[in-house]
Amino acid sequence: MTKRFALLSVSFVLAVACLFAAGMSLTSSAHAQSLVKPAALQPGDLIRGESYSAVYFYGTDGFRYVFPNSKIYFTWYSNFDSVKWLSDADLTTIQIGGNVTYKPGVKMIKINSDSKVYVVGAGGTLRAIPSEAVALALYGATWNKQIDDLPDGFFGNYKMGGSLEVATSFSVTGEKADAASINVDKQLKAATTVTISSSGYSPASITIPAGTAVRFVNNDSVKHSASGDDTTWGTGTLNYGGNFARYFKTAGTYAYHDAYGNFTGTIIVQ
Amino acid sequence: MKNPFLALLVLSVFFVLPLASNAAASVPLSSLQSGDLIRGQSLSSVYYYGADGLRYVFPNDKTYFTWYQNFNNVKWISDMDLAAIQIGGNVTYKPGVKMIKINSDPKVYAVSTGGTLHALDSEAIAKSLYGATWNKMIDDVADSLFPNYKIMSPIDLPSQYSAEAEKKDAVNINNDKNLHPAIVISIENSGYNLPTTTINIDTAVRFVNHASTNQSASEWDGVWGSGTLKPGEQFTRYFRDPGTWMYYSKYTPKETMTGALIVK
Repeated sequence: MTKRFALLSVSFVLAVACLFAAGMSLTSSAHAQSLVKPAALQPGDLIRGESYSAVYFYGTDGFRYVFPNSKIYFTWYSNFDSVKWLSDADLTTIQIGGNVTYKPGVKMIKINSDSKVYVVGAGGTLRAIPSEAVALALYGATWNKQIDDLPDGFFGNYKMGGSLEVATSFSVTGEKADAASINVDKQLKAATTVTISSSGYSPASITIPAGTAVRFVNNDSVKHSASGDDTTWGTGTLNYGGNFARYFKTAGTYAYHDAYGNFTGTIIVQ
Repeated sequence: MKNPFLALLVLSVFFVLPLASNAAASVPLSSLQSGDLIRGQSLSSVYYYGADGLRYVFPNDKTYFTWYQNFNNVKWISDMDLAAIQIGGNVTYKPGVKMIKINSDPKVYAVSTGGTLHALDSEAIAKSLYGATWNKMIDDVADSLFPNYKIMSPIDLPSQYSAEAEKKDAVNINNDKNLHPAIVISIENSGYNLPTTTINIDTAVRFVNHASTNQSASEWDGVWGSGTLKPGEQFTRYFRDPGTWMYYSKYTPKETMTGALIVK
């Protein structure tokens, strides 16, 4: 089993390497398409800018998620038909939230410096396959053609789950069906919005669950910021219309203020 | 490699060690020290061997050269030994050496401890921090590596950041990532040597099978597990959230081999 996995990896390395370098190249559309505005985007849209061909997933939380390579993209989508184009300037206003991981169930993955083969569960959770028999039971006779080599540099995007002792503790079709979208897979939730106007932050005090994001939007005609009182975080200068979102993962009370005025606000993370 | 463009692509994805075409002798695993640079025999990727016993990936050579000037101290180990060392994550830029940006956003960031980023509010600040040649000290980071970094507060005054001080503080990657030795739980024929263990969050636990037969450390509900550990094999996992975990060995009756891990 080990030897077979190792041999396979060699052929995959080159294939994977050629498919991407810095971003994923969209091969089909050579000429630009009509542009949409960020306000018109829906959670779950696929987006790209004008100059670069990299395609991103637009999450429920308002962040864009990177497809590290085309193999990962094609576990989720079969083509680029529904990609929406944004101006480069608009794309820059959408922050990067993280990397998209393999769609659960579609492929097994491994890294080239280790012969272990993993199934992919929800949220990029990996479970080691203990034997060829289990791989065969899950993926059929062609199981050894359904393993992708993941570059070491992306292995950190995955979490280690318990190893699979028996084939019945994983269902390929069940995992695929559960992974309705990348939003579901990553459990992305809408950000709580705090707007900044000439009268201050609104709402000035919010309570949010841990692991959700807050988006600050400056609707005032002058510059503002939301700068953490403890100086560990901040939006930076927000011009009119500018926005910045941040995830709060740890429970606590986060006080912030405006570096350009006297506004103050509080975020309570529970 | 006939196509030079293809060669370039491969180079940019995998971190290729250019000089050593003839293999060096493998050193035994037991001789490795925390902080060593290591590689296997077949593949040229170089890794940082962390204090936690995991290997850390240099996602590209630019990242490598913020920490090291050459490959002189890389130790070679057998492919099998390399496979036995789990990957812990990616190395990020050494603080203070370079500024970074991504190509789909013009914001420029200074790098601080543990891959934290501080956006530079203006050209004037970049200039006062990095001098007249500041615009030659910005590296483009691939979008897909950007999630390795954490965005912190922006810098609006030059006094909020010192490239020299950051460099000095970043003694090594262990320090930068705050890596510490893992708590070792030995699996003996009679059971786990530390059947009830309390650890702090963000600590690694290493299960080492010193028993004479196959064993495992498997969470009761299958949330995590070592998989089958042959005698001598080991498995390391970080515990990032508080809670209590019960685990057992799939190869031994639960009554004999059960452990509890309390993460505070």
